Amino acid sequence: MSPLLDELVQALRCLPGVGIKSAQRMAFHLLERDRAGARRLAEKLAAAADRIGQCARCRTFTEVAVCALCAAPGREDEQLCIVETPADLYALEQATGYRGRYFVLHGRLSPLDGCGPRELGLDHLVARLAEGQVRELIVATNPTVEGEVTAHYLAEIARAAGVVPSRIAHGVPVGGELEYIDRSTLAHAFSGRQKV
Amino acid sequence: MRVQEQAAFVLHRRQYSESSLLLELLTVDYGRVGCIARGARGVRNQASALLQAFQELALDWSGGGDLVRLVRAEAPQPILLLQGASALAGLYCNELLVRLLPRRDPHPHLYLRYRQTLQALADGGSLAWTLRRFERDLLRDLGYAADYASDASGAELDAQGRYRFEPEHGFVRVADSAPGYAGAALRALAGDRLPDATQLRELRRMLRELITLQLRGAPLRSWSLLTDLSR
Repeated sequence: MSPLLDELVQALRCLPGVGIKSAQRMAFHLLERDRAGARRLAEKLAAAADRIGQCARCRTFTEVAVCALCAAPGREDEQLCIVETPADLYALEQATGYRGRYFVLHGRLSPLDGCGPRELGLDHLVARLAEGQVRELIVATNPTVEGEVTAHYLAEIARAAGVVPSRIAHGVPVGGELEYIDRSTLAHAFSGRQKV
Repeated sequence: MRVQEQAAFVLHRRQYSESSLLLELLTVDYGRVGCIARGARGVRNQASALLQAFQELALDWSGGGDLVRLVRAEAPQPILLLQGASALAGLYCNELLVRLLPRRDPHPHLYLRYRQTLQALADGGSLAWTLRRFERDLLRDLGYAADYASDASGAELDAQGRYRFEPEHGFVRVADSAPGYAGAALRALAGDRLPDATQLRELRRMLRELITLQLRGAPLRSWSLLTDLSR
């Protein structure tokens, strides 16, 4: 019918979770009901793809040299929280009252995925710690084997720089019941128990 | 083809599409197997917590091609918690297996050695010695073994002598001042006796040389990580 429409549907399929059906529905919706929205979306997508890069301090996504979180004067420079992705940064920022700074790895150490210290920008991190302001390095990598190895590696870097490393706890989800928790989570929760 | 309750370890997992995982498995009867676990990602799915490296599993799968489909996963054994440097050493073993072991080439003995190695890493002790023993047994099982007890002519190695490795021949004696490997270190590896720290470093160099000969290409990524950490 319309080659351009087909191309639009194909282009929409690059989004996660969007198959051919959903892509068609999105395309028809934009064309039938919301052309202004479609133009706005196109503009923003083009601008974001062209202009958003990485913050020079924390490597999160930003279109300016230093992101708002790194530039904010009210935040504490003594605490630095390491996360795997910008999405993790947003999640922590919304859920916790954390007032320190962040550093985004954009991945985790994984030899079989070809992801090493250089790919994670750890030379930036070493330089950042050498500035001497950071007192505590909070490692918030995921509770996977690679996340564990990354946490260990980061802790070594921190200790070498005279910074105290800590790692977020992992265990039983709030509102969960022990009986239904998978074994590996339960084993971690048990070995990570705290004095009360 | 349907396989039931196959003892297996996950060597590597990767996200595949929205909700699935692509797994590289080491199994007792089928060797290294590629496997797709549909719908295994996500917080609500317990398979995601189960399908982790270093956890011995009992797996049901179907299909016999290059990529089998996971049907069921259970963890009959208690969880093995590998932390810090031990986890890194474990990932190194996984990289070795993925790079050196061809798919669908059964090595039941190697599977047992892998399981013992993980247990040894979890128990503590010398990580370096545990890794050297695993490298030695991996090379032997894959048919790339060198004779660490005698030289190319068949004579027993002199503990005081130094040797270099020649592919196709074996260890050849060199001058005492030449770079190479101490006879005592090689004999310790052959006799499975814990060598001293200097000898352990020589054995690491020697086994890397032997492994590099088999890799045909890029060095292992874990090597740079392990070196960084030992500094």
